[in-house]
Amino acid sequence: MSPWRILLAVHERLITILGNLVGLIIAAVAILISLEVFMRNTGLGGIDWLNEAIEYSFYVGTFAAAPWALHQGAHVRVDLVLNLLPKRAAVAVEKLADAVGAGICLVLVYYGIQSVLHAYVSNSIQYKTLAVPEWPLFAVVPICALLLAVEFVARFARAAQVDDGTASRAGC
Amino acid sequence: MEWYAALILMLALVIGGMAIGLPVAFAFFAANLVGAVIFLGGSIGLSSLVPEILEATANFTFVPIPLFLLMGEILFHTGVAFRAIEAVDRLIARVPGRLSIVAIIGGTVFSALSGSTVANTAMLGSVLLPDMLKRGYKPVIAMGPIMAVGGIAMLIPPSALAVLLGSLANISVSQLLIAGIIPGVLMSVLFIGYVVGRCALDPELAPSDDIAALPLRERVMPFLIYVVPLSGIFAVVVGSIFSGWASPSEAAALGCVAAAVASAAYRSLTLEALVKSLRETSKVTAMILLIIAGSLTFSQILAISGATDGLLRAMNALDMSTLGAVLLMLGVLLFLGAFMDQVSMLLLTLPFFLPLAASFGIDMLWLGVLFLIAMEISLLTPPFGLLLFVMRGVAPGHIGMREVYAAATPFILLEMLVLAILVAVPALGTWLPRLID
Repeated sequence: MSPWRILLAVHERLITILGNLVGLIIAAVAILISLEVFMRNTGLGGIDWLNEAIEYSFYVGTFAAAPWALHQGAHVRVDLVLNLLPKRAAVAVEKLADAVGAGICLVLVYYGIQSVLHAYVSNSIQYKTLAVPEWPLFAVVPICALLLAVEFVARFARAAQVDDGTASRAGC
Repeated sequence: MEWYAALILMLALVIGGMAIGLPVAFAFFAANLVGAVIFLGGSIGLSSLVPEILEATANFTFVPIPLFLLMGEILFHTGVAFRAIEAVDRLIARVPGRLSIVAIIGGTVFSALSGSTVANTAMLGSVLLPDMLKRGYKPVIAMGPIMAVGGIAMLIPPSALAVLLGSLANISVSQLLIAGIIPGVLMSVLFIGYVVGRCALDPELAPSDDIAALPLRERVMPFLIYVVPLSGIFAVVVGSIFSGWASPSEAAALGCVAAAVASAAYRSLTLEALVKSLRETSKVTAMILLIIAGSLTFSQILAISGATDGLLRAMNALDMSTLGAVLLMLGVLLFLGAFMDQVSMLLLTLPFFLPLAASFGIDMLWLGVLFLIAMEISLLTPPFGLLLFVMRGVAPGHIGMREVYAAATPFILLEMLVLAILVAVPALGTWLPRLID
């Protein structure tokens, strides 16, 4: 197996685990909120930090599940123009979109790392009910953007294979 | 840069990105990166994107989105939703476009069980659309009612967006939730009238598929067994809000537990169904929240560039009556709704609309209902109405966006009609909540 295929297999495994993990987070949110409502209304007291923890988990979950959602084709997109184009042109435009997508993610990786470093050096902290250091929160975006970039490159490679197949058939 | 040039540039970037097939969230991110370079001071602006994304997505008001989705997914994957729709299916007979009517009535029922327009459309699309197409229904009459009735979840409580609008605009959330009931039911009735009329005129749209004549008992009993008890979920969600037990976001969590308990009561709750429900919720939540993350930052860049301010200043410069001001606000919402999600529209326009409404002495509850209807319409307006993409996502691969747009068009016109009726007769929206209050 080529190193690229090994990388893709590891990548797919990782993003699937992350996607499933986000599902568990959502289940935990539903159960914990229900528990908190019950506790609060029966005089057992509430869980002060719960709302804030849920807010952060939503932010983390959005990005953690995004590469898996992309792999599953779950991110909505407009295919109006692509459907109007001849197949070769549509594949070329699709490759362009994947390249742009990978580029966007790499820019987010770069500037995300800048944000993480800045937050780490300045020791910045989000103060609400909890005091949470910002750098690990910020780190979620560049890590997940890197996984998204790999997924866009994999999509580009798949589109290129389709393109080659079309070309060779056209050549016959 | 002049405000109109900034507006055109930012919109062109988003539309261009979408046109080449970039996922919608990434089209917003592409525009945000360019916008940050131009309007936020280059690399300083780019470095501020991550903190802005954190601020946009780490928001408790979004809790109902995945939880109302999960409610729908649990009812769907356990088969409870399917059996409920089958029960509605048995109850309805001898009408043209029968399955489309089943979709509208089933969708209205589920609007009261799920506050998510996306979950409603996705569920009805997954359950009914394959069957409708298999039975020879034309896509236009199969998809249109599902998308249209999906949007009714925004009006009939529990509605995640009504909660968000009420809290942002200082309108009583409970009054706003109740205010959506009459317009929501009115829309359902109009949709049914349209489907029956259209299918009667053109029977080829929906081939007759009448079920064999069944005794009344066999038609009514499944409804009593599989639909009526589900009203308990509605009671948990709405009842917990009105009793003061739970906030609307918390009620969404209680609704998930109630959906799981109801599925268990029907002996349908399996680990496999639960895992599937959570996986699907995770996927769709990531898609929606990523679009929200992209579009909220997009809205901020539009505001900083002066495009938002310039656009609203130009509108304020017009000499208007109260009705003119209302129509203008609705026009802006309908226009923006063709391009961005409802949360972004609210965040973008309310800072301008609230003072404008106050200066004209407009009834905020009435305006809130009108906003909800305008946003419901914008869920269906091409090119970027959210439900159009949800439908495209659950429809078979051979159905393209053009067919989805065509299917939505008549229902957009009907929703515009309801909006016009509400503008002309405000009491249709405000009478019920004030009566209960």
